[in-house]
Amino acid sequence: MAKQASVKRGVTRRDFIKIAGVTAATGIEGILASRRAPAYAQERSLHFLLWKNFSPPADVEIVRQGEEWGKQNKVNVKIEQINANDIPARIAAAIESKQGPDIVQFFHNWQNQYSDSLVDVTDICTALESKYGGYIDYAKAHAMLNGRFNAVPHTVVPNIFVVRASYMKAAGTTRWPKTWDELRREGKKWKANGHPVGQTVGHTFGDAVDFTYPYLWSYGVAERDEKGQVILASKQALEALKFFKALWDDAMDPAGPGWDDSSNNRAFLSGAVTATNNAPSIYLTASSQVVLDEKGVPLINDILHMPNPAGPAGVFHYHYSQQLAIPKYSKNVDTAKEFLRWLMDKEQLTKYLRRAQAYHGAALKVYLKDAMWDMFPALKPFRDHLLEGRPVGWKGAADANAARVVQNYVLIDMLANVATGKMAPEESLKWAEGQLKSIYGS
Amino acid sequence: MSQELQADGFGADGARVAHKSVLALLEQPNVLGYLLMLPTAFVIFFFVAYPFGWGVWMSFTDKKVGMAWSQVKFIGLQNYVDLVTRDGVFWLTVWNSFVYTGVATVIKWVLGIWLAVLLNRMIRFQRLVRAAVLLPWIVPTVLSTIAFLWIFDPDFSVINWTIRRFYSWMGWGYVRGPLWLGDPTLALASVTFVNIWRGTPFYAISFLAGLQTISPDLYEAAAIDGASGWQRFWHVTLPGIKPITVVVLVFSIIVTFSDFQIVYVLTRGGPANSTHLFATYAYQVAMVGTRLGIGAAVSLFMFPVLALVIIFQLIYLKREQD
Amino acid sequence: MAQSRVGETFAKRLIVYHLPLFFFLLFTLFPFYWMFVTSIKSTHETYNREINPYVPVDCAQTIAGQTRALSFNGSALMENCFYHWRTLLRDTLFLRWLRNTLLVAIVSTLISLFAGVTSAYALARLRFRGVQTFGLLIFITYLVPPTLLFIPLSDVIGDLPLFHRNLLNSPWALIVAYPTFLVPFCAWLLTGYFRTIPRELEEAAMIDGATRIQAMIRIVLPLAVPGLLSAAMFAFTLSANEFLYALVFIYDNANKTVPVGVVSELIKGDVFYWGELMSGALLGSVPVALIYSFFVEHYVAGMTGAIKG
Repeated sequence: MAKQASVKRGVTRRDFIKIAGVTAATGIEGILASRRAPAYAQERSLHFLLWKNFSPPADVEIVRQGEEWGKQNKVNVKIEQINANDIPARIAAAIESKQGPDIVQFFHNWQNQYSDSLVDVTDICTALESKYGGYIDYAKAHAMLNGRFNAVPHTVVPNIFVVRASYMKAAGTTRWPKTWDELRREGKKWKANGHPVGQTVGHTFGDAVDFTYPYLWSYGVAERDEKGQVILASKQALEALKFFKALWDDAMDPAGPGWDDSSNNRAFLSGAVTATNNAPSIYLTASSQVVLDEKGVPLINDILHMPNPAGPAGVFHYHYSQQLAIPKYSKNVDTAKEFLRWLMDKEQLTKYLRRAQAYHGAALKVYLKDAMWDMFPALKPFRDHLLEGRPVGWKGAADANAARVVQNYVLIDMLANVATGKMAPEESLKWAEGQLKSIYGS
Repeated sequence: MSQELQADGFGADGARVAHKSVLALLEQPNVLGYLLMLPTAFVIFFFVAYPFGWGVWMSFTDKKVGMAWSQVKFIGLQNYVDLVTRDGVFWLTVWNSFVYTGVATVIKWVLGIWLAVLLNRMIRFQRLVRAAVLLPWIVPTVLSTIAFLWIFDPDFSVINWTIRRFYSWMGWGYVRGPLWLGDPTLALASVTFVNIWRGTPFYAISFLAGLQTISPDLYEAAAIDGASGWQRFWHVTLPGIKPITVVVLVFSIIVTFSDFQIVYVLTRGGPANSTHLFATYAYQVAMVGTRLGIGAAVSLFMFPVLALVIIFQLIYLKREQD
Repeated sequence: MAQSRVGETFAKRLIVYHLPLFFFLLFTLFPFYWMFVTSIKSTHETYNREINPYVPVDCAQTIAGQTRALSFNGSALMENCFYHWRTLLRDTLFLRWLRNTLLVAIVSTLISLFAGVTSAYALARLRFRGVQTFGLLIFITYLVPPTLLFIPLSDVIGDLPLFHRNLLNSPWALIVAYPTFLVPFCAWLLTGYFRTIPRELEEAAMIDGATRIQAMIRIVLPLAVPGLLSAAMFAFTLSANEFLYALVFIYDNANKTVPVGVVSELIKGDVFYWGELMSGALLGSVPVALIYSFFVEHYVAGMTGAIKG
């Protein structure tokens, strides 16, 4: 009954964070010196904008860290957490009007679109690299443009397949498919049982990219070659698209194009799908909210974490990076740099990653050995595949235009056109190549 | 009295004279007119005209977010040409916007008149029902649209649940129910539906106001002449509400054509760009994809269409006045 | 309930009046019923695809149980029925957002009414050079979409040297931005309304010695009250509903308006807190709905006058 109660309550109160602003000690020295209360307190302030983490305890931890540092250094640290999808608009307006947050979090390689408006943080990054060892290569590529770091790599969110073991067994599947074609065949059985493979190909920032990019890479599909020429329309791309149609029709949930980043979580937790490519959030939600399956047994006992199936060109994954940048308009650049250095210190970063319940890994390779994976052993497969990522824009550079391709959902739409039947594979490929050419400017 | 001006206006008399001359000045239509227009002019100039001009200028450049103005290149109509000739989403956006606006407007119009006629007959609970009917328009759009996100959810949709129950009750087996936001055509229909749901009350209440300006004598005269209910509606009601119809249509078309929130919340323009409207596509290109110049150009494509709509209204009203 | 028409049978009335009205009310109000039910359902009920979604079972059972036993248990009621409402009010800054929304809406409305009244009077009554052009300009501002305006507008507002303070991130940024779309409508509505007021009344007053301004304030304005109320309610609604400017201009959680606050605090990445979202939607529309229920007659009357003119 106690379990029922906690399931009923669903979200615990702990999960709600009252972010009413974090304050710290004011500058007493200034007041004493002038012998009267100053019009404005002589204290430094810092405004930090980041996303609402898909792992709620991480939100609590980052606020706590901000508070701690602020108190130690007499800085008024204000941490603002918003929906990740709303960050680009906020920061675009801030950069244009030259006022806004002092530290901003970016995903994929978004910030490369306005690299010149961001402070050069190469000094922080090279210091971290020499102290702790190198960054994961794709995380590093996403934080650099033209040889300089415009953001400090922070974390990496891994994405692999989350699977219902019992549904696989019930359909007679003995092991997780090793190739996409096997997934198509096994998935057909799962779909017949009412539990297809579920994936979004809609206009979302996370899951859609995490699935479509590695799928295309596993067929050897490249946006550009090393010289920067758009080479999307290739034989492999056509093959990938044709197969995708078959995969979609046979094994996948037709509702996918309308899903956002949370829909596949909901679908999985309510037993609607057998497998979906996702970050650890499904497992963590199932665990913290003690989600039960149809038989009343805790769902986490039935969850497997498996790698992406292989295409003709191999197995690929995409894990999106999160990095922190300081816009040039900030009046607190030095304070921000201090804070970032502290945040990336072993003690803080370890606490953050562990309290986030191993939802994300760190951009620094050394943390692959961290004990957080032992605290959450079910999530070890995420660690095992964490190095198997690539930056966007392959084979070209992960530059501003590559970010625009991500932000305008071009490759995602290319697959969605085919999945929904709006366009035939050839037509969609031509469409996407036209879009790439107009973005990359050929 | 107010026009008494004395030649030698000094001292205490002088003050009174000065006061009087200020008042006299204010009597002049020209002066008073400009003075009264000042507040609105201020708002419009600083907060609409100037930013608008800025936006138009931006659409003739290759400006991106964060690009210093010194680096911005003037490229004339290149953005517009690129949108029309090269962009693979633009024409789809045009199509979506026209379909969305056209279908929603016609349906809101019909439903609005119908509901207004019904409300007009009501005597008891009049106030309560009118306020209740206005609720969709009163509730903040973002919030009611989120409710629809849940109503249209592919797995948890209450509509689909109802359909499934009905099917099983009829013995027709399992059916998943429509993919309200997953299928491209259905998604456009769904966002249009939400727009209709939100906008019909505005039409209804406005038409209700219009109905109340129609003199009952006209109806009596028509009834005496032997007109049926339908004929009375066609020949008395509809012409009677023509003035309000034009005004409501213009306002609604402008708002619907430039709509943003509903699509942004429900689909962000997906699936596969099948629900992108001008505003949402401009937002994606300019804010999310940081290409401000092109985004501004997308936005400005709305301008000629909307201008035409307004011009029609002005011509119509002018004709009615003469 | 309705006026009976001569020669109308009950059956006909049912088909032509009662039934359509019933369906209209169903169409309009069903989502609100859904919002209410979702807000009092427990989370696990919400995420259950099989059970009947129309009935909040846990809550109903609690109430039934308490009624049968005739014992009131406030905390059980709170846990089973109003859990989400309590979370909304206690664990978010909802009341603060409501205060912000009301502040912005009221002040923007007053500013827009003022500008609307002055320009409407000028357009309706005075003949001076440029009056036609000016009327046209007011309409044209309508055509400028917020999605185009909001970046340059954030620039303008950020640069305003008002009291040496940064307007961005305060409700004042919105109070300055909202009249851009409120003033044109108020001006149009009130112009039409003023035109319906006979000139003779003012002329009589001016013959008696009043100035034009005195005539405007003492004669025309009181007669235009329905129009003013109409414009005010309309402006208030549009202000309270606005989303894009509020999203971009305001950062601090404590300064947000209801639409932005609810969306940003209650959608945490993966998870939509549906119960709290729905209760936020309902609570966020209550103030405006209340105002409407008191003044809906005047609203209609105001629109009537405007279109007659």
